[in-house]
Amino acid sequence: MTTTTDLSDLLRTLDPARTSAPLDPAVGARAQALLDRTLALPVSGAGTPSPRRGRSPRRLVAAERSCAAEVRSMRVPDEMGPVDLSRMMPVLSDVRGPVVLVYLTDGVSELSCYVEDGQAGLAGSMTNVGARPTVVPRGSVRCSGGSITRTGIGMVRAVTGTVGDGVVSVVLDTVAQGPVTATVVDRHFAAWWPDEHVTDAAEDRAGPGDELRGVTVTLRDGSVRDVPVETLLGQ
Amino acid sequence: MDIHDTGPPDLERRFRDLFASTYVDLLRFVERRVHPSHAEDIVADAYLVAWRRLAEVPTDHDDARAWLVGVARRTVMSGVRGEQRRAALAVRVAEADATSAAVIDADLVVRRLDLARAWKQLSAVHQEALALAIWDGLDSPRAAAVLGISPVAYRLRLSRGRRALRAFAERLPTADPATSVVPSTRSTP
Repeated sequence: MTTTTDLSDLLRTLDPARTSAPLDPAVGARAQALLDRTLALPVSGAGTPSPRRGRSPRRLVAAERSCAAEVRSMRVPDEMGPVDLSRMMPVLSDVRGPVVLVYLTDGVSELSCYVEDGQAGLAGSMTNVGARPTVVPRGSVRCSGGSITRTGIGMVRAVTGTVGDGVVSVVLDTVAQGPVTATVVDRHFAAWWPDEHVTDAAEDRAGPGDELRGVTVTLRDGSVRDVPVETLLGQ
Repeated sequence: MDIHDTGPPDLERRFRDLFASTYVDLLRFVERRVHPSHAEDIVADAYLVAWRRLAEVPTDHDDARAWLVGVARRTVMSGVRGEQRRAALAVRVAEADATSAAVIDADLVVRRLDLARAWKQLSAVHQEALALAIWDGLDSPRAAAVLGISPVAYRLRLSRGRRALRAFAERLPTADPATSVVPSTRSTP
């Protein structure tokens, strides 16, 4: 075993991977099922209003840094008790046009942050402070935060939350825009959409969940199920 | 707009081609790193990311394969933190079976046993560098992209990994296929 070639040749005989082409029929059938159910999901930007990952990772990184700095400089009202803002970490970022939404959480409380032209602004109140982490049942979804904010593209709404085991896709049926595909990352989801009808008077009249008509989730096995708004809101 | 809308035909065709040309390679990449029962789930997550971010997937086949490998690698690591993350990078090696009917050269049997034992002493970082080159067949720029480092840094890492593996193998006592000596040292990146 003196040359690089010898070493490489010998190592090739020790490859632990089992699968080889052509695929075993059982593996091939599972691969075809995976392809079919992936193609059954909406592709970003192709059919529904879908927040999209940015093409520029630098832009996302910069947005997340801006939001993290914004959070650290935030003043927490005394009545909320001790809050360790350094634990608030970005878990999900999305770009739509000129706006980046960054969703931050410490595992319990959470914030939404919008970044436009490099300027970060926090939206929504810091929710769930002091609460216990929510355990979302398998195949379900739970909204834990929401916000309304004015951006350069007008008023937008956002909802954020957690998904249970097996959930790979969340589509919200919104009153303002119809189906909106949320982004799901590491058991968190976020969705946001323009809502030009937001006014103070309308918000005063609105009840919890009035901006949504329902939720559809897709599970890893390809099955699709509807989740009532009440379940989404934990009511 | 309907929630059952899927991508336009050209996107679907592109994804089908990507899937067909990379599935086996991607599954093999994951099989080297996780328990076989989890490998297909990791691959499913990687293709879901690819479908959602199809515009970002390189059009060149080899670049696209490396892009997917990078996604799968991050998926493997996404559930672990801290010191466990380093362990998650580790790449398994096949058990060198001295009784395999396919191996009739006694010297080759011993060398495979030595190499398999030496592999287990490599750092996870060196295992990754070697596996990407030898088992995944990625060139330096693409392997470097998977790891998020420069090609120069990757080549250095690969060279050190090879050197460490050779040193571990040569330092082992003469192999007796029935015994297993596990020195406590591991290579450092």
